[in-house]
Amino acid sequence: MRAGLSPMGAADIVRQAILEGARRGLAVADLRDDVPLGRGGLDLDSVAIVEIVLLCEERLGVALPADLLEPPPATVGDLIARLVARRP
Amino acid sequence: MSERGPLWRALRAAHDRLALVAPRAALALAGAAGALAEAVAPGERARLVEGLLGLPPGRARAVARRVASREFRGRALRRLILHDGIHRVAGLVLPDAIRRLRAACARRPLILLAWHVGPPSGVPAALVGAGVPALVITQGALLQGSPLLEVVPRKDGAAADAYFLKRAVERLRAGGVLALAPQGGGARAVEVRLLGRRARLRRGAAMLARTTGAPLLPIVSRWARGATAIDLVIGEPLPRPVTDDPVAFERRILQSAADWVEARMRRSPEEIRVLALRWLAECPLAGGSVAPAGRGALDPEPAAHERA
Repeated sequence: MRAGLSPMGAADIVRQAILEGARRGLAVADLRDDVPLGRGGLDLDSVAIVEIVLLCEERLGVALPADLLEPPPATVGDLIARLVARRP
Repeated sequence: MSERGPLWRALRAAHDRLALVAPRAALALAGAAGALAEAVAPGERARLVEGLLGLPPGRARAVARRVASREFRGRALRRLILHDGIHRVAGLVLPDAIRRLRAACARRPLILLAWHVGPPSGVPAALVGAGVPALVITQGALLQGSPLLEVVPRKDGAAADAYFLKRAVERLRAGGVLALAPQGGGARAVEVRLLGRRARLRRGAAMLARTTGAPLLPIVSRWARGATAIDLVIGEPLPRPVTDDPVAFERRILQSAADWVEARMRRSPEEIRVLALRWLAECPLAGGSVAPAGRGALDPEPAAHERA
């Protein structure tokens, strides 16, 4: 677990993970909080969402349980909020 | 006699009741009824078999009768599971198959890639018979109720499916056994060649193998002993692609999986379930000409195939 990580720092890590998980050459500017993760937005499938969570586990140094994804996160901001809440 | 007519429905209801008290007899009867139905009123099965496997018409019709026979047996199996639970079907799995499965599952973590070929729920039934605890990703509530199987039903929606995939990661990291079947379709699916078609498979199994290091073990069930018992065909673990590129990894390992199941399908075409035949027939031809776009999957539950 990375001690002392600020919410902003953790959010940046999550955003970077989303960019990598999306595999679509997106920019940070594309990741507004209200953008849907699925259809009509980033078009992420379930596998991509899990890949993002796994990247965040590795980089935040914290275990992120499956329950975080239930109910399913709907938007970029929703996913970031859930993952950042688990930071140290 | 139409498969949708009132007499047919009455016979099916009577057969359902027989399945509960004498499953092997019911399976034999169902098989005979299926073959008869296909012989008397040939449906789409022969055309699908002929088109996909390139069989001559006479041979395709013979295979179609066996496909129909197994399809009807599969219905009887589902009825048994719904009524009595998966343990009832576990009793139909051959002892030797159970021994081989138990031996295969000694190596953990392990991902059993169970294609939709052969008796429905044959692999989960064998897991129960072998006493192997496993996480099973499936559709519907067919397998609920077994203390050995933790069943994660697929949901209708990409983000919803992420929950069970993460559960699967956790299970594998803990050294567990996971069983799932490749699903077709989806915007980000991986294209593989299968029976001369460009089939698109979801990449969940490949991602799980890549991120957890668990081997993918291809496995199918098949009918045995006059199609009143269940056997297993267990392959070798698929070779792990040596690459740092996740896209290449997923494409290669899923193609290996497709090659393995294609060999099984060609050897025993009668074991291909009719919905898998339909799905494959709708996939674009690998040679370049394009068949109508398909929505389906190698899956007996077409309702959930529209997920993104």
